[in-house]
Amino acid sequence: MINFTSKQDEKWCIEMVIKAFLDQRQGHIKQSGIPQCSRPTIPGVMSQRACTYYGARWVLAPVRNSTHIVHAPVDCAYYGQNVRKKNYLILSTDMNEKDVIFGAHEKLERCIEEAAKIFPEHSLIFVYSTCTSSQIGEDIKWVVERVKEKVQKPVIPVEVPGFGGFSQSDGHHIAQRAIISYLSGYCRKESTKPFSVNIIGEYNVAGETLVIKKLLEKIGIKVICSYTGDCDADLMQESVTAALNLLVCKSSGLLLAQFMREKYSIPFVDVSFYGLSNTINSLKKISKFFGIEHKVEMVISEEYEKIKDRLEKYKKKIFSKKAVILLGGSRIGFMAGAFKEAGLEICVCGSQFGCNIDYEAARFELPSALFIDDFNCAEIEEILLRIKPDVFIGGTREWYLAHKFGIPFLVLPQETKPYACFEGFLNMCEDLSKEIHAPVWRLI
Amino acid sequence: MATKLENTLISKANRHVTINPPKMCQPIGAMYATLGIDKAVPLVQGSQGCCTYVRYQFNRHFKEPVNIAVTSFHEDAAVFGGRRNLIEGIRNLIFRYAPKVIGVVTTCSSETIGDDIEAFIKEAYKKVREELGDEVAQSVFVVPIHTPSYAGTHVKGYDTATISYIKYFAKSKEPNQKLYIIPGMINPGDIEEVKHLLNLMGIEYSVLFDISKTLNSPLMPPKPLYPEGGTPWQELEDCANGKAILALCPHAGGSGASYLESEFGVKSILGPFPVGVENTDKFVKNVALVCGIEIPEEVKVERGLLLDAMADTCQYTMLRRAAVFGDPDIVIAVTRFLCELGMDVKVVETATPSSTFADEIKKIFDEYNIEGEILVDSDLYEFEYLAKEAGVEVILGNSKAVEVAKSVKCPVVRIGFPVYDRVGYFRYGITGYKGSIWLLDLIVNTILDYSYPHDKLHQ
Repeated sequence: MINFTSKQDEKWCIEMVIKAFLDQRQGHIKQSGIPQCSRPTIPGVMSQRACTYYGARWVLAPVRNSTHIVHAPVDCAYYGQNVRKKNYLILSTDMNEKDVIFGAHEKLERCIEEAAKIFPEHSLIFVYSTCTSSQIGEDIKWVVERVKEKVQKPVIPVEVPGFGGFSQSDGHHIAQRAIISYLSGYCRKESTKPFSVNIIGEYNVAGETLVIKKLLEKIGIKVICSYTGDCDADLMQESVTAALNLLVCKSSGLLLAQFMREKYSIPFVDVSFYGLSNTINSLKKISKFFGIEHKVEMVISEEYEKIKDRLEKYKKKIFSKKAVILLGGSRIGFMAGAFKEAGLEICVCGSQFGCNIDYEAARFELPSALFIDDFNCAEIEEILLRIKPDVFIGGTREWYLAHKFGIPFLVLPQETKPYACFEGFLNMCEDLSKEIHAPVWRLI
Repeated sequence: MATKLENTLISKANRHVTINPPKMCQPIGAMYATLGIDKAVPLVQGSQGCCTYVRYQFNRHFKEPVNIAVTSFHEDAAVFGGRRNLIEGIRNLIFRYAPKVIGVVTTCSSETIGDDIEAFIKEAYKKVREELGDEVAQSVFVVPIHTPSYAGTHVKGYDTATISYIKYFAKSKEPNQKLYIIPGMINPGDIEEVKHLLNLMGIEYSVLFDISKTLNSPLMPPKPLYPEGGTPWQELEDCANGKAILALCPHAGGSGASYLESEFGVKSILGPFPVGVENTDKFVKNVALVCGIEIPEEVKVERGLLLDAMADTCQYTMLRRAAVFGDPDIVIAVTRFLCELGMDVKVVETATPSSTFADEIKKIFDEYNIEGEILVDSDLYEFEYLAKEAGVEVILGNSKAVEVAKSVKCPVVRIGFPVYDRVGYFRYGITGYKGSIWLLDLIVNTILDYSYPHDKLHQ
């Protein structure tokens, strides 16, 4: 139970905590079946969800050679500059009180013109509108239409008011639509390149795009564009000539994949490069599409041979350790599979913004784990105290909380090494065993 | 202080667009202050991002879990107002966390639609009283803090929070002999150093909004619901009866101190932020004067140690070109210290609008005969250009300086908030004589690491 400071507090607070759990959150916490998801967050809890704008930045920030202008008070730009532990150039209209009262479309127009002058080498401009500019009714689409001619390059509006959805996953969708509007406006398909693919929903968090690219090249397949881990305007132009799309993250890529299937008749397959069986299955799927099955078997055994010995060593160290995983949307499905393969026993699995499909995929892997949708700090604390896992896997915001309970933590997105494909799986097992067996946990 | 530039758009004054702004929103400042109060939780009246982004900053800077709740604005709230969200939010927060103080921090969206926070809070009290009884309702203080971020930066947010809390709590009672301190947006280590100095002087004091322990807490399971060590709300009530109130950073906390003086007649001293010889001297003298004590020998010894360190290293610091950016008070103090070290300060910037910043820096420049650029309410694009132009050899600033330094090709000394790309900077204070020695060592070692040949030992 939670440790309270005074006896009296303890008594009523425990009751209240439990009551609050049952009243509003019952449907979101499930031992069997799928929890309620994609619902509004309850006010007053310390939810781990973020806003729509955050989701859009998550997808669009890595697009190279593009100018990003945030039409909002300055803070949205400040926070949005840093995405996945990397800094990106960001511009802001820095709305002030006067702009909020009288409107700021003229300012935005001037800002876009100035940005085009200052960064002539950028071939694309994204204009975001967030809470405040949406509330005062700034019509950024209209401004964009007016200014397009003057700046002589594509300007894409991205309307992402933070309240415009329940979590960041709505932002992922809007960002995809922004990419779609660029593709449909400026990219025409003339030919199809044989043995070429795009990867959709892969963000090169720790250099993963490179690892996947290398693996695919081994079986003779070229990656044109990785949305948006390795992406710029030219690559996007070229991407419509691919023969196949590989969909890694559904939450941030499904719309785009569907669009490319319809408009450019590029089919897509669901793939995942986390965990050995996921990677092998994905490779098989891809090779079947291109009719190159013979090559794949060889590559698989060759790659596995490389990591086999070291992998066994690490797997022994993490075998049947109890784990809690709290990750974003579609990660829970394939990551759960990868962690299970590594030998972890997963008791709790949760997501901030998972949808039904994500939970179904995760449930398939973990038939009896406790599932939590839109988990919050109080619940994490309860879980850590009751279940006492050997390792906790999640994001930056839960990291230090777990440490305060003396529980090892593996943070995703990871620090330096890629976790994708064969060598990535080895990295993951190595990191897990490092975290779990750090002497500090024994010294507490 | 206009420069001749080829492209007029490089100067922030000539353009509308802001490029790489180094300033944050008002709410983060208000939350910074709130987290320094014992068993207090900031409740953000706005979208989830307003809470998530801020928690990221705190998590990554302090490497600590941070309790910040949010009322989760969705589309309905943005259209019809956040009444239901705030009332339910306060109720749920009391249910789950039993806080003593709730600081309701408003955001752009809540202010734009004109939420009547005060009225909502009254309704929330009513609801809590009905559901949980009188006793619970009376034990919680819900303080409204208005912080739309289109009307100022994080520094203003902290300032607004201090005045909101003091207005809410301060009550005139029996006078006491205490010196009260509003630290501003500074690190736990900085506050520790200030406390260390005051302890040496043997005076009675209390730090309001004291994050030194709440945001630097030990790993000792089981984890308490709230970290130990924040300022108890009783101190905020009692500050109306103190001997004097000292705002270390006049921009962040000055209004709280001034309010206390005008309303309760508590003597207020604004600044300076005690970094370097002269500023710390001033701080020590102010405290000694107010409390009517002699400056003790130990403090003089620490001063001597700082001077010794400065003498030992002046060959490395003399005439070395530097550039500084950050929060106004910290930048003013650090700039003075750099001048004391004989460095040639080429560019000084704060992104926070300030009426006094340029004059203060000008005064220091005149005193030390330096000609440098002074930028107020500017951005890192202009800063980067001018720093490059001046060929600076070291940049002082927070983690946003890293990209700038890459293009200028010089090292960074990390100061201020947030520093997320290195560990431990929140632990070591730069205030007081001892803290200044640490900052001096940091600067000199950074310069040595970067600019001197490896085959030479500098001993």
